[in-house]
Amino acid sequence: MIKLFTETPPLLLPRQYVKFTGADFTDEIREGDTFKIERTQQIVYEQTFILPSSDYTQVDLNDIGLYPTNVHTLYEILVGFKGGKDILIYPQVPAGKYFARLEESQLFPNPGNPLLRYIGFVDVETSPVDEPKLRIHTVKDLEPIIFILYNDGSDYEKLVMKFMVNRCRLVRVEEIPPEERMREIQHYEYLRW
Amino acid sequence: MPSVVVEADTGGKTVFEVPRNKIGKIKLLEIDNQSSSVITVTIQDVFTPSPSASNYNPTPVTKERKVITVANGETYTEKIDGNIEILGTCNVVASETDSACKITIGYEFE
Repeated sequence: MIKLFTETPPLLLPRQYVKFTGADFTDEIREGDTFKIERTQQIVYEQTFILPSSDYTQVDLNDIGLYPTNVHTLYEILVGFKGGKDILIYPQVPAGKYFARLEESQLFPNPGNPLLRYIGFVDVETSPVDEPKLRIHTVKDLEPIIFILYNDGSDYEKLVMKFMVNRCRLVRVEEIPPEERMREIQHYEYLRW
Repeated sequence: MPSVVVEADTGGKTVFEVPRNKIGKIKLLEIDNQSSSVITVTIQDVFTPSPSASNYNPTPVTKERKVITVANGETYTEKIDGNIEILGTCNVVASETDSACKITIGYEFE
């Protein structure tokens, strides 16, 4: 559901199958539900933020329209960043719970703490706008995914977030034919283990 | 590379505006001061930050990006390797208003 790759991942295509695993996503999409992608549409969407030094803001992907309003739509989103070379981006899901952390109990991301600031972030180097490597899936009524943006530089910085939204229309299927390709969409709690 | 020429003006002149989804980079600065005065030229960046934890209602900010003083009768030229970023509107303010002092700025959007 949220994943940082080492290369830009491919987009879902029509006639591919997806299976939601790990936990129930919403009341409509339960663990183990399978769907065929009937059609797709790609939409580029950019948001820009200017932040002072040592300050932060939070971006709720639902608030900026990156959640579908239709229960039969899946948004597959590749996120790339431009500018803001000192801006650190921390995904949270749900709000207040950092997505990436180490197992040691004290090593969780905390942009306000200089010792914990450099854990679990993405930035323009890890997911540049020309080669996005951060992938997110959203469906209607999924819990909010939040990006905390922290400016670790010494001056104002401008960060452009480019979202490549692959809008997928889903058709529920009972099972996936064994010869067909299938992508597993894993719940964030499963991925966070 | 686009470039703009403005005359020295104490009231300031707008050189370019950066699109919201771009970052402006000044690549060339040339000041040809054929006036009778020493003139100081200030490159300003005017932008409005996003609401943040420390400021929910930000107002426009003016940052000085470069200040150059050029003697009368002299020309100053600098090729800049992209380290002067403009986030919003690029303005040029001079210490004197004089049409004999021409300021050329070359820039790119990234």
